[in-house]
Amino acid sequence: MLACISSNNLCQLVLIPTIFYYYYSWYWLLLIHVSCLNDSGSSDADEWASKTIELIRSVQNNLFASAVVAGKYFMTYHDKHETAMPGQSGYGWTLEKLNTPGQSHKMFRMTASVFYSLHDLLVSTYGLKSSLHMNSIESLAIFLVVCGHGWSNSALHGVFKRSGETISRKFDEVLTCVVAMCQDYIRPIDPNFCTTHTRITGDRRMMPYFKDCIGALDGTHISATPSQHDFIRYIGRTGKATQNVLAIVDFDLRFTYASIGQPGSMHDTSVLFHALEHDHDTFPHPPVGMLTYLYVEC
Amino acid sequence: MLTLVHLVIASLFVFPHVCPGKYYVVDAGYPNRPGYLAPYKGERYHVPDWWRGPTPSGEQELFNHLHSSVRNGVEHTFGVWKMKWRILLKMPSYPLEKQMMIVAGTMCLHNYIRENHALDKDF
Repeated sequence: MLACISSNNLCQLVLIPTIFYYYYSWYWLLLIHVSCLNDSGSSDADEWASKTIELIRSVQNNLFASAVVAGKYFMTYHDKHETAMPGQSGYGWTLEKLNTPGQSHKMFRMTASVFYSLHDLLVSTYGLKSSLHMNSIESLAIFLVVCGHGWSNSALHGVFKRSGETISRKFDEVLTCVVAMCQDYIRPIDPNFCTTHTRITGDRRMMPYFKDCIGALDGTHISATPSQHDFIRYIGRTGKATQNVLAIVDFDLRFTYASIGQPGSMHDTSVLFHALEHDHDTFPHPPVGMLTYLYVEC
Repeated sequence: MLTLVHLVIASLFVFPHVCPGKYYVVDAGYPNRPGYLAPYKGERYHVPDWWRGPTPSGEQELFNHLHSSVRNGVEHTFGVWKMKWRILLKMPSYPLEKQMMIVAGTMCLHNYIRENHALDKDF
């Protein structure tokens, strides 16, 4: 209802109480005057003058304060731009990108068919839901655009015509679903490593010598923004705040393990030992033989 | 809160312990021990080294050449992963646990694309 009040009405709203208050204060001034006169012959002019000045000052202060409040109210709730009339909704933008050849890969970092299959998987298995005002395709698109391009909330607001709060909330929802996928996708395809990969068997330089190789383990630094009191721990050899991510990659170029969140100042070897120790405790049933193997080596 | 989230995220991944006789190839920064095969130190190792000099000769150099060739995949994967998901290059100031979740999430998407569309032009 407030939004319907025009600026003319607002002037009336603000001015009428102000004027009323102004005259009302003069009324009090009159009363004080009368009371002072009635009081006695002790009514000296000084007391009356000081009370008058005090009252006038308080009136001035109150007037000033109410003007500030009225001004803020006006600027917050009424001094707005014209309502934006979006030519295309966020969902429309998503569909347009998905239906234009090549655009899907640029925007969402995957082809439209992979996008739809990922969406179906997240909805069916990992609990991604549509809400009343935004369907799951659009929220997945927001997530992928943020991850793939690192766009800010303001940029997304311009594209998806959604408020920053909505975008942030939807990003969190999809992120939770995608992290739930990790336990099914970041793992070795064959946990027993029975077969040698074709990349080794197909290369006659390597075949007999590297046949037992099951992947490569390496660490890398990913930029991080830690809190102020943690900042020093995160400054690594690059001079910027980073986190040290240790990952194992198999010959299909898939990640099979990752240890995330160690500060950037930590040495690669320490990250490996931390990962081994940590998973030693949580690993439910290590195969017989491997346990001894690790105990001896650690 | 942080430790809790850290544990939740960390427990998602189970370290694929190497079976006896199998090993991961690692770079020279890691210890050379059973299960982890590091290259010889003091010899040429990185790919640009091979471009400059003569072809590898000697047992250790030959081994390092093959070793770097095997380990090429992990560097390639890191490169593709970081360039595809640009948020990793400049992480916004989210809470730390959310940053970790983003790293895990993008890895997961990487694997998903790799499994379902191996011909993706970024790989």
